[in-house]
Amino acid sequence: MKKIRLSLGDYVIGKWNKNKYKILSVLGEGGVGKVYKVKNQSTNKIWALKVSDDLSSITKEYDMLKKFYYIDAIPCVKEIDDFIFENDTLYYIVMEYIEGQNLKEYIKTKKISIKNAFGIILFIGNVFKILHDQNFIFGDLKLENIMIDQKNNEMKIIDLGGVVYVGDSIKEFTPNYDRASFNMGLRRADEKYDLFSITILMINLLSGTIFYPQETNIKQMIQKLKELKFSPKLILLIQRCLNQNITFKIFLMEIEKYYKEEKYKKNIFIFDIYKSIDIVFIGSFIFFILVLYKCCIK
Amino acid sequence: MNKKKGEIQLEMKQIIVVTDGQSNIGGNPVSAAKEAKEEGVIVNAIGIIDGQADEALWEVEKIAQGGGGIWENTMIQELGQTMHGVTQKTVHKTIETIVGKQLKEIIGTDLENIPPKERSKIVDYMDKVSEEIGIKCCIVMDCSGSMKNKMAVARQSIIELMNSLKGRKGKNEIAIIAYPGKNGECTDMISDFTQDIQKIKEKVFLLKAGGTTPTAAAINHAISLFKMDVSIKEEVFLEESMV
Repeated sequence: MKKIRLSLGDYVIGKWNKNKYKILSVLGEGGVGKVYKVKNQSTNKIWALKVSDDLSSITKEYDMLKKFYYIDAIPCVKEIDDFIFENDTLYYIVMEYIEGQNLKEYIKTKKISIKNAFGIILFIGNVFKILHDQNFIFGDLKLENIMIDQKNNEMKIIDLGGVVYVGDSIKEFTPNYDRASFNMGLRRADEKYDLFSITILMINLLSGTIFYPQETNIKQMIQKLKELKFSPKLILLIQRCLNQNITFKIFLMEIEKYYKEEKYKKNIFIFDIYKSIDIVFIGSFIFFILVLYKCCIK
Repeated sequence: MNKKKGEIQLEMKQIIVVTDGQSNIGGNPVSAAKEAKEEGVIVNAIGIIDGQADEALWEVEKIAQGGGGIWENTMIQELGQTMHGVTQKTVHKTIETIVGKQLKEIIGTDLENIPPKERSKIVDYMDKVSEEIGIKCCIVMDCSGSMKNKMAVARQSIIELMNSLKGRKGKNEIAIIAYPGKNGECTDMISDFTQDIQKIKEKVFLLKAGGTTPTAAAINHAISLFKMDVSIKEEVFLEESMV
């Protein structure tokens, strides 16, 4: 396999649209290609450029990004083009550059609360629902494919290279999230393929651990959650999801319930302690001013 | 056979050679790979490495070049994913070549020379064909002494490949050849071509490590499997036509 090795400072000039991009840094590397941070030489705007020697994979990802442009969580795509590198034709797409960290880096630096873990899953799940309704399966979900942009308070799902029609075979996957790697089913695109991977992602977020199929089986994963004292009801739900005997829709409804429960818990807490402290504090402050005012009048 | 009219009936034949070292006995694997190519069988090669990529196995690249296939060096943990990827790419390449030829005949140009935005329909069509194409895959697995600690993952990787193939719409067959074989033999046929995932799951446990690395002999054995299949079919048809 030939590796794509563009050097920093190199220029990529499109064969068709003739736009010129300068390579600034490497953003990521996957099974299909490499993603670079680039600068458009004429507008000075920053973009993300995904390059690969696989024509059909790049073409399909462009089509998917175009098709689902109306979903906020999916990055905008600007153009698709080719260029010649060391006598080979390479194919690329230019997409919106997303500032921030991917979820894998993010959870290394910050602890994610239970509420936010459910929130993230609910967010991703709702995007998947839109895809499912149009007969597509996301396929290659992983922490690295979720970007957190703290500055603009946004979350984006990147890498649509794994999106396939329901009923086709899964083309791209990551073993940690792939049901076939855990001996839990075929690599065929159905709603339940996404259900399995999103549940694994949820376990990652709740437990703070990533499980590898060569080291851990499903049973051991559940055991770990029990040790972490998650509610038996939640563990049962996770078990049913991993065994894929509930629908994606019901999964989403359940997660929404858990999310609201956690949110509500927090609200009571704030009202009970912080708000009452505030009221006492402000009340005594007003009383103090009144006393002072009376003193002055006297 | 339920062939529909106008449906493309294709079959892709591939050998995947998995090795963690250089062949040290029993002929030249590169010329064996060339022979396979002449028989219409693509030879892909995967090198198992322990650490950094710079200790890449050069023989793997040579075998794949000889066999018209692709090569990759990978850690044992990623073997399953690599086998999936290599197969995927080979299917793509095969179909790109076929569709490329058709395009040239019909509109006199390559896919590359069609503007990117207009490629979608052709890519969709290629995708459809690649879902339906029959795949015949012979895994040639290095079971030499140095693979001892890696056999469990290697077994799992073969089952996973079957899981990948079974996800497709087309027909899939897998055969497994181990090298070296038992009792001083060069190769050992673990499983003949089969579509039965259960059979593969049982047979992979026959893969056991120990001995030398006769890569060439193993590739030759794989070629004979593909050939044998054809000759059996011919025999059967001959008998049928005689009756």
